Amino acid sequence: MNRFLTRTVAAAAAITTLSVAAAGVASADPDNAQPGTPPAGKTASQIYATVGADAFAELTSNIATVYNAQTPAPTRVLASYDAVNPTTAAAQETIVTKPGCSITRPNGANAAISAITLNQKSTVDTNEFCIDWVRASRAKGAAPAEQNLTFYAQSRDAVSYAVIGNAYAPTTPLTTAQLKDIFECTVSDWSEVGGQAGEIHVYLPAASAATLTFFLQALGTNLTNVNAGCAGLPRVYTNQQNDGRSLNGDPQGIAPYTVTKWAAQGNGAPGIPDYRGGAHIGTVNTDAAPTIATTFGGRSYQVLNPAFTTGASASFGRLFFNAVRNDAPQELKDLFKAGGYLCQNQDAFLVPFGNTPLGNDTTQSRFCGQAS
Amino acid sequence: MRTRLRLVGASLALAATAVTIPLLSSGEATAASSFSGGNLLVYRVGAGTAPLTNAATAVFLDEITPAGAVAQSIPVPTTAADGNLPLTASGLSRSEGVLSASPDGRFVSFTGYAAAPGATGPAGISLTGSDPASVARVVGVVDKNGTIETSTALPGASAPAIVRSAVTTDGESLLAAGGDGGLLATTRSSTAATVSAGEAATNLATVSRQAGKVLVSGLLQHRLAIVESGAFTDAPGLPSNLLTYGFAALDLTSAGWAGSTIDTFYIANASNRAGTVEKWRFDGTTFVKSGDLDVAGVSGLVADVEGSAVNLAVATPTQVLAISDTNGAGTGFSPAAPTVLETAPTNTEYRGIALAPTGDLGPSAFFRTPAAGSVVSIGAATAPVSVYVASPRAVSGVQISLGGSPAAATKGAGNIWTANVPTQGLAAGAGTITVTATDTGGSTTITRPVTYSGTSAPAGALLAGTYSPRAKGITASKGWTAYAFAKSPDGKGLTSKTKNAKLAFTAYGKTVRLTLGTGPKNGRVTLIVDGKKTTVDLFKAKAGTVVRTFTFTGEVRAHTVQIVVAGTKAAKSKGTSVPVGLVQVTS
Repeated sequence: MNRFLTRTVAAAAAITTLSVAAAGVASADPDNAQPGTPPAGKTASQIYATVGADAFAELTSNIATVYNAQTPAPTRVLASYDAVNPTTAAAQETIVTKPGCSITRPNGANAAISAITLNQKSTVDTNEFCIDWVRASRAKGAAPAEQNLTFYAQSRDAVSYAVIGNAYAPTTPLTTAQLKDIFECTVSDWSEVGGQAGEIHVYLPAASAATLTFFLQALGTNLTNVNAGCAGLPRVYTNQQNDGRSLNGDPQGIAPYTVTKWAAQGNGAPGIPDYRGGAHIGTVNTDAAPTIATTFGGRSYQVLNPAFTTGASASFGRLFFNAVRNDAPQELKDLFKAGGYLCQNQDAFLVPFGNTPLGNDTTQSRFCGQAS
Repeated sequence: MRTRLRLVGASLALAATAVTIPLLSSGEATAASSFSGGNLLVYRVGAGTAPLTNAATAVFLDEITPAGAVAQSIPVPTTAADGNLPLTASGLSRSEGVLSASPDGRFVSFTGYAAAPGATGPAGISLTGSDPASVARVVGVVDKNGTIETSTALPGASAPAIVRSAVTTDGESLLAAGGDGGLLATTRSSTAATVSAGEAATNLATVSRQAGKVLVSGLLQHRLAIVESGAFTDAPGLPSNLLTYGFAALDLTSAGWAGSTIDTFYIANASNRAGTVEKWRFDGTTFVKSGDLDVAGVSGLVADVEGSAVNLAVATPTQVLAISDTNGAGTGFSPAAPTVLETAPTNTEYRGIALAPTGDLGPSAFFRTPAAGSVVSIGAATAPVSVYVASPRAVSGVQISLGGSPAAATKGAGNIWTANVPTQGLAAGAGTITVTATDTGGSTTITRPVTYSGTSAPAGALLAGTYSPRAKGITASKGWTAYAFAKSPDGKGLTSKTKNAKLAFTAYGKTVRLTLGTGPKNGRVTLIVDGKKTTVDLFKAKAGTVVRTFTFTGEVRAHTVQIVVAGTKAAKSKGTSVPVGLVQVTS
């Protein structure tokens, strides 16, 4: 067994162990006791189901929890399914989003957008789609199938890289070019990019993760180039996106990481365990910190620093979206549209999860609920 | 309330010195003050004059009181002097600078690079990228007096790129570890090392000696382990992704892990959340987590047991903090928020932390030559020994012995004291050099094992030198009388005309030269060297001298010499006198 495979297996084992231990505090799928099953006692027509990005899965779960607890109770409940099994971290297992809806759990936004465009329907209620909306950590693409979707802007995020301490990684910013070289595996030692002498260990999440593809895009590269340079190297490992523990306490490691997810983990946001695993978000091109402190409801939270998504590191900034079918029920669209349920409560929903609210000023270039 | 750290078992609390030495200075042989028992010692990188970089940066050892004041800041040498090497650190390499105390608390060890401030690796990369063959990785030791000793270089072939940690038991034997190469064993002032455990790829953060065991923390493997007989025994139950640069192993219950008394770990865990201080308790089978406390960026950790409480001090790059576990013996861990003891000055960062070393009053003494375990020839009458002696008080003397007569050392340049120590009476084989240095506070004795080779001079033998025949060591029978001889050390020789009158001695050297008087009244003398007889006729018409030289081949050894009045004479002589003016031995 080569080192890559050995490492992969070891990492998977570690994830399993640690996730079990943390199951008591995590909340993500509708029924945490039975991940991958729909809300109990609800028919397919009583559920709006979502899958997609890991980056704000807990945020959406929290919205669902709050929304579902309203009085009077809403007509339909929201059911948000994580990118991976919230208990075992198993990826791409079969889940049931609604009665009669057995699908492969999409591990990330790209996979979820592909899945929603399949328009799979419940076998017990053929009027009901199995996926009603997607947590999208990327903007609407040019693919024809995506033109049938409406992307509602939710909040601001960024993707950077995470390292554990500075035993090897530099304390100074890495440049876009250096990051490109690192993730294309054309540089192999931290001392080549301003760090200390030692091999760089590249950790890559699943290819289906939009966080990865977006990050590579920000670097000016893509999965094809990464695979060409890194495939088979003994210093390349797999990890679960946005889970610092899957970096295995490796100070020589580097991985893409969603800034808001990292902030949310540190903030102790509802349902999101602190899985930073010692990892911190690195700076890119400038000293602009990835997060800043803000106060909401008398508490201090770390949120994405807007300055990190402008200037020299602008390409690392992105928006989160909720993508629905163009012909989705208005009730569903009203959740995400400008002035809708989410946008009316954006600070409360977004700040604890480290997201930077877009605001409701529709005269700005970006605002909450902006449709595309 | 400030947490009071207290060094358990400190033999003596030395005079508290609250003098604050400027933080922004560095140099060689700066006089330090003796540490106060219970104070902390922190490895600080940077002189504060410019932002830290990956280049070589001056290192300081800051002594911090439990109340949070800097008692003194001791600069580590940045230039070579008195046998000490420069010891600097990469300014931004945050896994370095671990401090490890000796089990008896007398020494704290640390590591760095033999590079001048500003030096980098090739093409301007980090100092850690420099070739250990050209930029030595250095082990430093600091003692009770704040004396810093940095004469030990790890050899290039096995030295790690990033050197992180070292520990000593006695100021002589050392273990060192870093980013590769495993656990290395060496001796102070040595440039040789052997791999004690691990292999080329073994990446270690910390090596320490606690609870009678050698403990290491590793990166990616052997996260926290005992090392014995070259094998690692990993602590069970700890997180599989544990990353720690500082931990304390304590005996607080009746349980014990892996044949040790260790039942409790306090760990600075750099891979949990943003960094946590954790307590783990051994339940007889595995370690179980008692609790944790968030300390972002935590790196170094030291613990001090005080009754049922355990006081912790931890270091982050920017702060030194105190934490108190008031129920140390219990299984819980829910301490109050840390108290900030000290904040790193601008453009500096903290690394490792330990309790400041303490010990009985007396000078600091570290051997220079000969090297530990080296072969010392006792064939010569004396063997040279040098030692580094320093003290905040006046050093009144240094005595050095090889097991025989001690020799008083003399102070040369800097703090180096040297002596040619007599080897008489020593036997080949294992030996010990003993140095006793004395100042106004007391004495310090250090020893170093060596191996003696050759044959030493027997007691009473004449060693290399010029002697009067009346000198101690030369036995004269009856019948000899003194006479004036200007060239003799005491201005006199011995003369006799009594048949069989004898001068006898043992000479230890390569040659023996006898200066004998000649003249009209002189007779014959029999010279017996190592049993071989030679007769010399000392008759001359006019008075004068004659020299007889006996040269020996092979290694230096002892030779018996007898000068016997023959009682006979040449026909023209008017007497049988035998004047002996001088005895000379060379080696």
